[in-house]
Order: sequence, then C-alpha cells, then structure tokens
Amino acid sequence: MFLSGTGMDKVVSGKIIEQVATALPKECREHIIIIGSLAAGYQLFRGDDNLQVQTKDMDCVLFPQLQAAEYGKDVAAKLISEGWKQKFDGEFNAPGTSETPDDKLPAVRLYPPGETDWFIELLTVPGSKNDQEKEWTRIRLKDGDYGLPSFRFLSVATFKPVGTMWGVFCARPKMMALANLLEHPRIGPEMIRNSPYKRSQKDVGRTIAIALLSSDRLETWIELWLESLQACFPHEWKMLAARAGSGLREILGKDNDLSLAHDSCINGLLASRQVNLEQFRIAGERLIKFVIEPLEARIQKL
Amino acid sequence: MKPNLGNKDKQTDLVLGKNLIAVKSGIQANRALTNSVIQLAKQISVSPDLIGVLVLEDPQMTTERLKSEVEDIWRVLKNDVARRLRLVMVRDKTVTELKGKLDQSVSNSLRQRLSSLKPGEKTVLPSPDFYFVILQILVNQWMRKSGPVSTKWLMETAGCSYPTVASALHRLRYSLTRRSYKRVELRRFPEEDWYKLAAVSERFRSTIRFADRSGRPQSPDELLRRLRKFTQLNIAVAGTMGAKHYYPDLNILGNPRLDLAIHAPQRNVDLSFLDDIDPGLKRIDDVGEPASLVVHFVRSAKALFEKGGDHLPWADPASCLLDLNEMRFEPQAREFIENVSKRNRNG
Repeated sequence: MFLSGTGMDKVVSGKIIEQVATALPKECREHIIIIGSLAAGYQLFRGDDNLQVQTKDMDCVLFPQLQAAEYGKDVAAKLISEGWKQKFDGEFNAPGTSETPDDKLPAVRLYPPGETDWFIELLTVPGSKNDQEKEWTRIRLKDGDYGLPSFRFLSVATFKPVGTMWGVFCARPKMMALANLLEHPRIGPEMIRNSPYKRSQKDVGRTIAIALLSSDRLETWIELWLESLQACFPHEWKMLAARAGSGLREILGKDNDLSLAHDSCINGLLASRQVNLEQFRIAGERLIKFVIEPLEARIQKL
Repeated sequence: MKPNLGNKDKQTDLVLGKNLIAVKSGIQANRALTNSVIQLAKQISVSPDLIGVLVLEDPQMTTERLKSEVEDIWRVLKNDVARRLRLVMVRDKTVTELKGKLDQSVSNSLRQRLSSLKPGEKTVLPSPDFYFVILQILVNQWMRKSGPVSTKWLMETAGCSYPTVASALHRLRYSLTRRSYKRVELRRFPEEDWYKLAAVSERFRSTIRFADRSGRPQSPDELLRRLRKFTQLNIAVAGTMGAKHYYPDLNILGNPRLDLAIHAPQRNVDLSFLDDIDPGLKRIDDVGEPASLVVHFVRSAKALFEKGGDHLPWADPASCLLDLNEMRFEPQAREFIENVSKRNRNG
C-alpha cells in the first residue's frame, strides 16, 4: 500500500480509504465524509493506482453535527478495540477531563495497527449558526474527554459529497477547493507546525492543484459553488462569493508564496505528477479566468 | 528658433525641451530607416541647439543588420548633424541606445511610456504589401466565383490607391481576364504567384504563434468555445476549421490547431483577449515548435469574412488556403482549391 519516499509516504487513495472504511462500524460509515488529499486523490486519480498522493493524515468528518459525538464515540471505540492507537503530541499529550475547556481538548487521532506513518482524525460539520471560525464538540471516550473540531467552511467542503463503494463519502475536490479559498482570503502568516509552509500557502496551493488535476471543465464548478454558498451561508453568500478569489490572486502575485505553495503540493497531491512552477501558476491563472471572474460577474449581476 | 512642426513636415511625435522625438514602429527596410533619419536630420538642421531622437520600436530587422545600416547612414551625415542625432531601439520593452546618449528627461519619458503599455498594445504590424493583399482578394473572388470586380472596388477593399492596384494588376496580367467597365477577374488559379505568396505568408500576415505551457493543453475546439464569448467582429475562424466550413469533406482528421484571422487594417492590434481565452497560451518564435493557436492578420481595408450565424465569422477561403499551405497540407490545399471553386461554380 505504501511506497517508500522521503518523509511522508505516497499512498494510493482508494486503498487507504478502503482500509479505514472497512474498519469502521457499519452503521457509522454513512455518516462519515472524508476530506483532504486522500478524498481529492480518490476522485481525481480514480482507477489509476500509479497516481498517488503523499499525506500523513486522513480527515473524517462526522455528520450531522447533533449526532457527531455519538458516532465519534462508536468509531473511536471500534477502532481502538481493533488495535488502533491514540496519537498525542505537543500540548495535547493526554485525554482531557470534564474540567478541560472545550478548546483545550485533544482531537481524536488514531494510528492504524502497527503503523505510525499516518493517522485518521475525527472532525464534525459546523453547527447551524455556522459563524465560528473553529468550534469543538465534546466527546467522552473510556480514557477521557476529546474534542471534535469543526471549521467554519467545512460545511462547504462537505457539500453534496460523493459516495464510495465502502459506504463512506468523499468530499468533492471542487468543494474542498472553494472551502480552502474561503478560509484564506489573504495569504496569512500562520505557519503549519513542523513544516516550512504557511497554512494559507498549503491550502490555496491545494486549490490550484485540484484545478490542475481536474478533468471537468473548470467553468462547471461555478453552479455548485453558488448552490453551496447559498445553502450554507444564506445571509452572507454574496459577500463570500465576491471575496473567494482574493487569496488566490494574492498568491499569484507573490513569487515566493507561490513557489512554496507549489513545493507543498509537489509533496502532496501532485506527488505523482511532474508539474513545474510555470504550469502550477497557469493552473491558478486558469482558475481565476474560468471560475473566479465569471463567478464575480454573476454576483455583480444579481 | 522654434522647430518647424507644421502639419506638412511633421515627423516628430513628441518635443521635450530641445529634443525632437520621432517614433517609428515595425520598420523593416533600410529605405524606411534612411528616410526617417534624413527627415529628423532635416528638422534639427534648422537650429544648432536641437537634438533629434529617433526611436525604433520593434524593428523588423535583426539588431546586427540595423547596426550595420546605421553605420552606413552615419558615415554620410554631416558631423554637426550626426553629433545631435540619437538613435534608440526598443525591443521587448528594453531600450538600447544605438547612437548617442539620451538626455535623462528623454530616457525617463521613454521608460515611462514603455511601462504604461499593456501587452496587447505592443503588437505593431508592418505596412501591408498591397500586391499580395490584392492577389489574395482576387483569389478569394475566384474561389467563390463572385465574378469580375472593378478597380474602384479593389481600391476600396484593399485600402490602397489606383496606381498600387494598377501595378498589382499589371503583375498579374497573365492570369487575368479584363471585362468591360475596368472590371477584372482571374481566369485561372494563379499558381505561381500564389506559391510566392505562400512562401512569405508568415511575414505577409505577421503570423504570431502561441503554444501551450500548462502541460494540459486545451483542444482547438475548447479554445474556440471560449473565443465565442468574445464577440469581436474582427476575428474570424480560419485554418483547418475554416477550410472544413467551405469544404466539409476535406481530408484532414481533427484540427491540429486553432487558426484565427484578425482584421487589422490599422497597424496596432490588441491581443490581450487571448489571455482570457487561456492563460496557458504563450507566444513562441520557434516555427518548429507545434502551436496550439495561430493568429494571422488580414490587412485589407475590408475583410471578406463570412457570417457564421451565432458562431464567430469564418475567414475567407483564400485565408484558409494560406493556412493549409503554411501547415504543409499541400494535397489537401489542392483538394480545397478544386472543390471550393467547383462547388461555387455549380452552386
């Protein structure tokens, strides 16, 4: 399943998803949406095992939010009973207690049996208000309290996910692309821990990579983008749509940020492709021309 | 003393203090260069304080040839005048002083002008060769079997004077049939003349090539689909697509590239719309490199494009024929000539 490489390993998305999905309780599978590189790779490289992604985690989003704690508990219990191990690090080196504030709770992160190269992390979709940058849903496991993190634009990323043959869902690459753009209206300074990349470089870069790998015409993204924004943010959707391209435009104007975004993708979603910086830049420019500009034009006409 | 900048002798584009600045775009012959230098020399000769600055924008001559021609011209100029002449070349937004040193104010002004130019505005076409323009018009009429045309119509369609038309018709006399009321038409396809045109068609049409640099090229059909959004009346579909419009049975599988004919009777053209069609297209100079999109300019005063319904217009058959020649589809080009003219004869 894994190929040796430097640092993180390249993986075949479908095989990893199968491994995780079949280990999950059956009744929970239809309440899980996989997001991130693996979900993108599964759809963009479908059927071609030669195309792999390089990743270290698999994000599983539990839904609906009201039952996420219950499903999360069942999922964690089942996986731990099958030999999956908790992953603790940094300041989150132990489970929380009932006294631990929600935002100080460790996330549920589990290594598969006998492996420490990658792990799964449990998340959930945002609550109905959908207005917090990040919120936590408390979940009580045998050894203590944990949190299911939720990010504001996860509702967009997980909009109308596609089903898999193993019962779990995968987020659509184009929706993850929009969520990343909404998350980063600017190329912010926040660094990813133990990484040379800014969070914004990596996420906006991944959006460009998705555009580059996508086989559908980019213009076709616009309808679902608008539909998701209207459904998830009925009061703010116009404003969000209007600013969707700002981070992308900023990164295309900054050679250093773009170069680092390219680097991060070469070590991720583009691990199996020979994509040079010029090609990467063109993919970003096409996204602006074929999606962002028509989207902005649509908003202006409304 | 003020320089003579009256309409009759106006050669300068800008006056900066004592500097008379003349800008010549796309100069391609020694004669034009010599004329420009002499005109400017004449203007500054009226006062010993004046300095003449000749700016050659995107000259259609190699730098080596230009330098050699300039040396020849300078050798015959009077010392006093030569000392006050400056010659500057601007290529790809880079300024090179070929003769003399520019005043700081002139240099700044020049750089300011260059930085304010958009990419599209930079494309400056050379003057058209009206003999080939007229030949193409007549071939087009012949292929369409449109009947004889008057000299006046030729003058208006080509955009040139009576002597120019007369001279072209004289060169083509062995292929022409003259009708009453000064009307003419080709009696046969002028093979020899046409192949002379085909041999220089890239220069004649100022062909510009674009290749894909994205690694994921858009197909010619996809490029055309995007182009349809730009309803510019001066752009027509040419190449194999255009040829198949006139002769659907043309023996070419698929379309190797998208050829566009742009009606450009003026010398400055704006190609910035190409960036909107696909940012992956980059201009290339190597004729050996496969192109995804090729642009040709139709320099006649009136374009003979054919209306394309809700589609972009179709380039005239003669333009499509030149594209086939240029792509080395020679058997198909012959098939095209024969069948399009036959179809029009019968239809």
